[in-house]
Amino acid sequence: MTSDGQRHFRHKAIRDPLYGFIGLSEIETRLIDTPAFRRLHRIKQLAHTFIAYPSAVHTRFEHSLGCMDVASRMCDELNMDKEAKELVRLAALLHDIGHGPFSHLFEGVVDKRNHGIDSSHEAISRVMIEEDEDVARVLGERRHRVAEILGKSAPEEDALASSIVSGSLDADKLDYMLRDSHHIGVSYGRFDLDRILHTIRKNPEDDTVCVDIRGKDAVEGYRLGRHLLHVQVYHHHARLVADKMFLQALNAALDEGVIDENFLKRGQDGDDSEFLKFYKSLDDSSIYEMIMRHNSDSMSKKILQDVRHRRLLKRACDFTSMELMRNAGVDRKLVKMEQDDFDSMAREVAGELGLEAHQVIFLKAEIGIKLYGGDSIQVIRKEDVMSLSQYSPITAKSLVIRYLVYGPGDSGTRRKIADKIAERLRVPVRIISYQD
Amino acid sequence: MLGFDSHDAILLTISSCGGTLNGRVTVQKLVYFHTINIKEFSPHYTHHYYGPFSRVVASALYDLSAFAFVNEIAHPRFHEGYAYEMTEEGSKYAEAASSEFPEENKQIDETVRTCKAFCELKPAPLSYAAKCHYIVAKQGGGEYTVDNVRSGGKDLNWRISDKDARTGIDLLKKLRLDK
Repeated sequence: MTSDGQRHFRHKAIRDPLYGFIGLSEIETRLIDTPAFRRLHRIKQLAHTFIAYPSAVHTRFEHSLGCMDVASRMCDELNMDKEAKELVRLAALLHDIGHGPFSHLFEGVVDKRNHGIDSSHEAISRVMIEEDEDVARVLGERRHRVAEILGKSAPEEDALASSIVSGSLDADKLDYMLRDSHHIGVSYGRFDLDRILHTIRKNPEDDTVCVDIRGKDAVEGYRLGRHLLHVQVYHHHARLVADKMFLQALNAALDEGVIDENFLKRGQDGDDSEFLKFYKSLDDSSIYEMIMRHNSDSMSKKILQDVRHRRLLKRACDFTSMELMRNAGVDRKLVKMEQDDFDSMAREVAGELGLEAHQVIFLKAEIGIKLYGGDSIQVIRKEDVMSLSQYSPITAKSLVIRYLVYGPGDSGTRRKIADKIAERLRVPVRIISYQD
Repeated sequence: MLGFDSHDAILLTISSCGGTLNGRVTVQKLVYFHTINIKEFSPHYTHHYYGPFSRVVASALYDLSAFAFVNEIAHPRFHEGYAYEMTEEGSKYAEAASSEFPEENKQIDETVRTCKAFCELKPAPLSYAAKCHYIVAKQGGGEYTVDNVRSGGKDLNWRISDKDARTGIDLLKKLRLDK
């Protein structure tokens, strides 16, 4: 990159706790000042993780800047030209612009109201890039290409760009793991970013990002870190139940009409303007406000108040698939059960014990797959491209499904809940109960 | 009674293969063929770099391994990466599923037998065939020609050579899925 090229990305510099200063071009500076992008400053990166780790209050805003910075360094290592780098940086900067309040939680709620229409945050990001007036004004015609890079089927010539922003070893994950670890104060997600960046290569087979064999151990550190973050942070039992209670409150608010669900429906005839208008008004605080300020003594308000004051449901059962198999054996029915089936079971148990439906929660959490599953990280040795698992000494089976059942604070009620669940699963209660 | 689903399809497939099956890709593509043959079985396959892919099937395979109905054996330095071996509990599961779904089981047996005879269940030819079928289905059911497959593949960013397209179409013919 020429010094002219470097200056181009130094129109403005923003201080960052991980990378020192992050440079921005003029266009990027204008983009981060659009209301649609500024909204990301009001959406926490890790939803209710702050309930378990108080300093986990960093936002999608700084992650987006960090993602752009890492993507930029990847472009340099891969010798991409200025024009390609500019596009990658824009795509990385805007990759999360379509996130709703509380990150991934809101995605499921919107998805449920838009059957057959892709309503993931990635899809909404693309719509925002194409249709938000301010963003479109700044990007001009380039917005189509940026949206395409963020799409599921990026054109062949953008395979590398797309893989830098969204792939098995992308700037998004490389940034959020380090950033989450930094803000939470845990060391689980730390890994050797510099070594990975120095050893990334273009996969000659499909033009995606892969790693030179000399970077293998740094990538192993990254995989292990990702696994540990999932186990210790993203699947922390208090965070899981707080997120689920928030979802219950949100769904109740929609049922009660506190929030008009029509606003969450994307335009059936392709016109998303009304949907976007409402969506862009949403952030973590505005959703809380909408529910808390509502006059009625509603169920949504009651549940949300419990989350707010950390009056969380407590564990009645905590067990894994292997514990069940080892100690009790299971029938095919349990293996086939989905989260909706567990929700129904929780409601039934609550009803039988005279509790309100929202006072029993049954969660199925999958742990382990982030370490070894879907092994699509490719390493290159001389001209030979292979998946990392073919070189890795730590590739092993590590699949666990964890089941968590929550109930009210008093232990007597939770014992009764555990009894009811054990009866339904046809297993001895001692195997699944959280309490001694 | 619970309906026939991906868990049943996977275990019956491994059972038809003699209790062991190599590779996640092989599992995905064999189950893809079952979705065409078996009524009311649609685990929602979508476009993926390596061919049609179903999250539902991936998740069912994960469930079966987590409950030790199958053992997932990692083979570093071995091309397929993972092998799936049915456990004793898995055999009981497959036995129950085959008596509950005899027609589906028969169909699965036939598909596995044909694929085994064609390519020894190697993932690449299965992938080519699944890609060819997916492409033509996307086109609304046109003709299975190399040109059609190659041009449709381009729209999905799948680079398919003439030879691969021919292999895929040949396997579909053997499976009688080329109509």
